[in-house]
Amino acid sequence: MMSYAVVRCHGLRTHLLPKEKILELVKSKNLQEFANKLFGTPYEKRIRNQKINLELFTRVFIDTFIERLLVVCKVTPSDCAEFLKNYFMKIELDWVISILIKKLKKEPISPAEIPVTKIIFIDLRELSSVKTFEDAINLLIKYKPYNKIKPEFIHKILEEQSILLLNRVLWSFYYRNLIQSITAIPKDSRKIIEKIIGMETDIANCIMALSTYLYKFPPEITRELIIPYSYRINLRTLEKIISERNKDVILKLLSPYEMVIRTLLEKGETLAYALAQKLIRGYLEKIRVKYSMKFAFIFYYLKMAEFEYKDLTTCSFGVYHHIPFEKLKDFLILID
Amino acid sequence: MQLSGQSYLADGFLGKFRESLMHMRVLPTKGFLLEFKKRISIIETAYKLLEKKRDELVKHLKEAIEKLRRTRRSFLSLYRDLFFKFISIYGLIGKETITHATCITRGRLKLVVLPRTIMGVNVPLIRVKETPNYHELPIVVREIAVNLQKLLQLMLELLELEANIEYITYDLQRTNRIVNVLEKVLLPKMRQQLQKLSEMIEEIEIEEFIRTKIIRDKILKRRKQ
Repeated sequence: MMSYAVVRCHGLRTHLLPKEKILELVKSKNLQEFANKLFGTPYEKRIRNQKINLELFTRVFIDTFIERLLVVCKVTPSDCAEFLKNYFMKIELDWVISILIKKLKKEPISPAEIPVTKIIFIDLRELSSVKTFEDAINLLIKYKPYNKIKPEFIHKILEEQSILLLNRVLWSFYYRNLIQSITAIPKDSRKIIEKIIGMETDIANCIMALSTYLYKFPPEITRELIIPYSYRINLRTLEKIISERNKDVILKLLSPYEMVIRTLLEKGETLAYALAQKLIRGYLEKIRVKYSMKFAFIFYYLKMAEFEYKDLTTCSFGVYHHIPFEKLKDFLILID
Repeated sequence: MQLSGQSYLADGFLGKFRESLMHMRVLPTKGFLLEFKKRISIIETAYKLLEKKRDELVKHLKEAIEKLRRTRRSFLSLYRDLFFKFISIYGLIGKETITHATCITRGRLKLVVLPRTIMGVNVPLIRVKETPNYHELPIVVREIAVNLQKLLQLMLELLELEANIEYITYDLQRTNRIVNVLEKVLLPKMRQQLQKLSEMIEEIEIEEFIRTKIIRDKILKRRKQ
């Protein structure tokens, strides 16, 4: 079953757009040209005969990515598929939080705003159709794996009706759930996937820990927002970073990610975040051949699909707002 | 005798001043001459003060324009940079993260507009009393939010500078008009009137002196007879 899934991913990988195509797309003068260039790609069937606008592309790219993920999950052994879903739940979580915030603020949600009916675990249309915030929370905890959220947290969210608390509870649940599901991955791929997730968490934590240095944010809030999982930068180092004022010491303490941290300190976190994604992509490319017949390849394929979805979204926004290629290329993960 | 005014004199202060001068009864007496000289000296002092005020306002205006130019340049550069970043993060972190990040922001931006005086000109002074905090925003969005805050502060600075320039320019225009009228119309006219008055008094004095002499001669002649 696993071998079949891996072979299937090798086949599906050929459907991903090559770098040259992304470069061609980013140089489009307007959305119509962008759409024309997408003809002949897997996106064609979703944009043909449709009214060309930015929303269409945003929806098409996420739809395609979710479809790719679900296709892979269907053919992957259930434990591993569960891990993949838990990992990519981060995309769903953004939508869930967004819907819950709108419910809390009693703002209407139009069906057009919802990208796909079922993202990974949740039927978003159903969640958005309930009347109140309480109903939405009660519906959310009926879905798997959200039913694992501790009831006391749910009570607190309902009692305080706080967006911040909601955000924190859901994200900490995401990481806890993800870390638990890593154990289901085959041992030969676990280390490598743990490394990638670890890199992502470490970089997010480093950026967060440097808020006091960069923006003079209160250290106590920064401390609370640190994700309690680490890989190469332990939590004690992060604690030191929060109160550190010396740039050289910061660079030394965060030396495993020196390039990203240097970019963060000199050019800001947007560019640093994009660079971190590029580094992860580079690392995935490196291990691709070695793990070509292992579960890690499935993860590699889905990460590439995710990068493609992100890059295409960036491209469509860039083309729509006429951002020059030179400015945009730094933010494209698949382009060096 | 009446002083004539110029038709182009402005209304308001200048108009009233012109009016008072036009309707002023000029008496050819020594007392009036002294009073008139005193009045000219007061007007000359006022003229000098207004001239100094004008120069000072010009200095402030130049400084404000230079500052406006600099602020506008940094505003545009930050705006451009931020716009590129903002567009690019839509792909990187997703539209929904950005949308719900706006709901996580705590507090509101509160401003106070205080009055400030520059050489007697009232100009607004905008002060940020309270800013929203972005401490709990997701990474990447925070950078945009913090920079947007900077952009907003630059916008407020631009607003303050533009208002200052407008008020200073208006006052400068008014002061300049007064200075010009004083320098080119009123003071020369008054000096001319002063000279005429002096000459007139001198003539009257000579006339009086001659009359006194003639009377004295007549009295002496009568005494001799």
